[in-house]
Amino acid sequence: MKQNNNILENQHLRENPYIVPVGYFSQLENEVNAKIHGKASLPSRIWMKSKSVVILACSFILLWGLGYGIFSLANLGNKSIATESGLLALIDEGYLSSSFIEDYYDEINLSEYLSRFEKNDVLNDNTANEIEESLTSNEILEYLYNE
Amino acid sequence: MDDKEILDIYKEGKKDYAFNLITRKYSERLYWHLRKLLNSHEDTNDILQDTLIKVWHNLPNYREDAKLYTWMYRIATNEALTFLKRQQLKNRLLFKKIDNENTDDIIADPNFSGDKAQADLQVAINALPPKQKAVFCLRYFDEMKYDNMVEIMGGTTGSLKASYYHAYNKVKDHLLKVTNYE
Repeated sequence: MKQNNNILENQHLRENPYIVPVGYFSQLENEVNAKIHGKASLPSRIWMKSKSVVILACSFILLWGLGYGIFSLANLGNKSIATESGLLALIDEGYLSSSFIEDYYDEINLSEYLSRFEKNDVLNDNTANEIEESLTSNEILEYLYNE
Repeated sequence: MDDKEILDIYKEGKKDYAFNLITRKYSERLYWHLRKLLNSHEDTNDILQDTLIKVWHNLPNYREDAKLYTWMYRIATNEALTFLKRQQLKNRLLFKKIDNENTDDIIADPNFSGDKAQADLQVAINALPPKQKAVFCLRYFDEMKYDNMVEIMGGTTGSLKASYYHAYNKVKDHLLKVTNYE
């Protein structure tokens, strides 16, 4: 038991068990001098010390930018007037001229537009389809406004 | 050549020559001090070079209130402790085991020429917290007096004695467990 408590007093354990690669210490001086007088200059050392802070700041800016971008894309649809319902609302309120309507004719579903005027006598489904097929946008508008 | 002569050469303006004299005189002692603290030759080489570069940059500020070797020893020990703490934190964050955690890893190291008992001892030392490890190595291997240890590591003689006591018992318990003594 006494011997066990003195296990660390074995002198063999205090001996150095390590070796170094051959020629290590003779090369060490040249390597250290190369680092001191070579590329490892003061600006490089300042960069090495501040690298982690700069990386953290860049990560924060990137995350903020991504968040702002996602937020902007999410709100883009709400503000757009280039949708069907948006254009129709503006036409009803008189904000868009016929020339504007011409330009965006392809974007408007004419059947839906015609159905909003409730022309039951004339504008049933078949009639509406016939009109759509035969008339240009200006003719349609002229017809509708004259009714 | 003694330290005073080397420092006189440095003050005359022959800085490179003086620094090379310091490197040739002390690098081997510093290496073996660091080697016991760090787990590999590669880490020891990196920390030793960082230490010597710091010595070069701080030589103009060296006040000669401590011996040159004690001053260099302090820089080397602080560099090693900083490295060990960083490595410990990194291992914890990555849920990674420390290097050379078992005897087989140490025996497999091409720069290790000892036997199993010495490898077991190194495993026990590697498991100590960084500061206890430094205190244990300075006292157990270098047989450094506590007064000199205070100059290198700071703190008080009492706190260093307590650190050594705890480290010694941890290492002893590990060796007893590994060698299956009753």
